[in-house]
Amino acid sequence: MRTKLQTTAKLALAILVAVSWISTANVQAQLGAPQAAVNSKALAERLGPDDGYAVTINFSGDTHGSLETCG
Amino acid sequence: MGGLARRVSYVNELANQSGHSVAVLQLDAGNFLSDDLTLPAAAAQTRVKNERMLKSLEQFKFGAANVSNRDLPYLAELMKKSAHSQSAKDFPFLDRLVSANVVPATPDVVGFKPYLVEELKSQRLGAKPLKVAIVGVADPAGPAGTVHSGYKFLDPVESINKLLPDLRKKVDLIVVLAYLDRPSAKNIGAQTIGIDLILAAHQLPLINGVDEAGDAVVGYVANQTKWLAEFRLYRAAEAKSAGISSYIFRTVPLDRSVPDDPVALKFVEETRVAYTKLGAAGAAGAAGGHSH
Repeated sequence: MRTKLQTTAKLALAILVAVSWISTANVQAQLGAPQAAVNSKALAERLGPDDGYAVTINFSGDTHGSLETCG
Repeated sequence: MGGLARRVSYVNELANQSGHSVAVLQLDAGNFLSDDLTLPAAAAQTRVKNERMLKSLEQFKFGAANVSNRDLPYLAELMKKSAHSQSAKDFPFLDRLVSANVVPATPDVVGFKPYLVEELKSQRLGAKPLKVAIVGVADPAGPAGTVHSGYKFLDPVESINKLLPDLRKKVDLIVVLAYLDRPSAKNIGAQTIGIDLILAAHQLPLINGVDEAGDAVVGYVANQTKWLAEFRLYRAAEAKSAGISSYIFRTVPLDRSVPDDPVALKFVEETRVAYTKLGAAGAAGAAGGHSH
């Protein structure tokens, strides 16, 4: 029973390592040169189109003393 | 999400995108300071956070901030008559705090301005500046007349209605900063005449649309400003008018897509260092206390 448990644990560990390698490899493949273009596109989406507006009023609330990012 | 460094960066990117031809007005609808002042160890850190918040609003050119009951415990320390002269020198932004319904309950504290008037100028507005009144109101967190930290909370609608006839003659646009829940914010619009925009906060969820109430359009900012709320205003086609004819409302996720502004990031990091240092000193003090 003890051996089987250890074997199962080793197998689970091996699967975990493999999955994390595949995940990391996937992330690595996504990074690199095209990332700048992706970021630039995402920022453009945040900014929205410049369609001739004359004034922007932006407002915050409930920051409760925090200058940090959250979540 | 959120944070000063991304917000400053977003505003700078907007200015760049438009070739610096639009006017930008940055405001805060309330609860921008921490009220965690009861325990001495936490209070020292809270004061550092709040001092840095007031400095940041000044440095990054915010137009005004609205006073809520959550802001008052700390502000009341700075607004004491005996301390106010020095506080005003240390924190010039105190002069940009607004409230029409939070008034001194004792002669020992200095009052806030009920409103400010900002003159916005930009290439797209043309030769005539746009005069904007910024009025503040906040939830009494109790019946009208409730007192918090030496300040009495009057009825928000009555307080605004006293100002409006005069304000409408002076300015092109009336903006109300409202620390109120959604029904109360809408009620401000429904019970008044001549308000253009109501910008509300009250630990709200993300609300992607606006409410129309009376003459006013009400927009909401989500709790902690993870999404920045924004009105974009379009000028009337008639060349002689400085008036605004239409608007769109947006909520902008301040996520990793928005890079950190390096100057603001340095400001945030310095704040974190000062805050952490005090925490370590407090912990050491507490440990010392136990050993004696």
